[in-house]
Amino acid sequence: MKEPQDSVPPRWQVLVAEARRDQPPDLDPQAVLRALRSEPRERPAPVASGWWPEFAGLFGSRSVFAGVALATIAFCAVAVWQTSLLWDAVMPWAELIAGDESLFTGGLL
Amino acid sequence: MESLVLRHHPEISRLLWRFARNPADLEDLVQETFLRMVRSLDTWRADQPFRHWITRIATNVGRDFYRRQAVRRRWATEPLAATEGGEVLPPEAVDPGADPAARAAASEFKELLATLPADDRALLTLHHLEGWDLKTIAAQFGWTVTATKLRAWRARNRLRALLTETHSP
Repeated sequence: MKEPQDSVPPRWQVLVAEARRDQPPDLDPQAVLRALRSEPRERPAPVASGWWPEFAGLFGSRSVFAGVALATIAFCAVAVWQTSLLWDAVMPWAELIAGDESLFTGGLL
Repeated sequence: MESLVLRHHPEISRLLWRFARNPADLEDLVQETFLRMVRSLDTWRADQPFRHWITRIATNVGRDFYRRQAVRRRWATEPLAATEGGEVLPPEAVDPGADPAARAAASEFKELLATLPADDRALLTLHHLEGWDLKTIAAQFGWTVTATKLRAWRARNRLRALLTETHSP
């Protein structure tokens, strides 16, 4: 689309040409600097959203939360592993006491 | 920080003077620009020139100023020499500047533009007074070039009607 520069009256063009010459009044940049100095340096913490706020109160930071989560997973893995060892250790005795080898294995062995 | 303010203050003042109606408004707008700059410094990317970034902040401050004026204008008729807070300045308080004819023309220009929607005012201010091309303005405001041209065309049509009305014998 062609810019219709000629569609405005000559009065407009004169007005624009004169207005462009207008210079701003002198402002003291120190006023801006004073305003910046009075601006609080610490910004308010952003409002968190999603699942994290639920846990934030308990763990304080994401890295603590990640550490606790990893420790919990490791503990569960070891527990499962140990339980299976325990099962292997206890079963023969249980079967011996019960006098039936298929009592606990369901006759699968 | 101080050196950033001192380096860009004259240019930002000159740009925002196109939007402001009096020195009090200008001071507020310049201050708001630098406050926004400080608050969003972490969003500035080192690969873009700082001058462009702060100019964008300043034009947005100017556009927001026009929007606030438009909202107030809906509620009350506001004289041109009023400050943003609504305080009306006596005519002698408005500094005629070094070039009174240019100051008067600028005032008339701003008064004419005040009848347009805020975005159209910002567009014509930057295009006519600052001499920005429409492509640059489109990039500043996040508009397409075609939409910007169309907006400029419509705004100038409205102005033409106004000028014909005002200056017809």
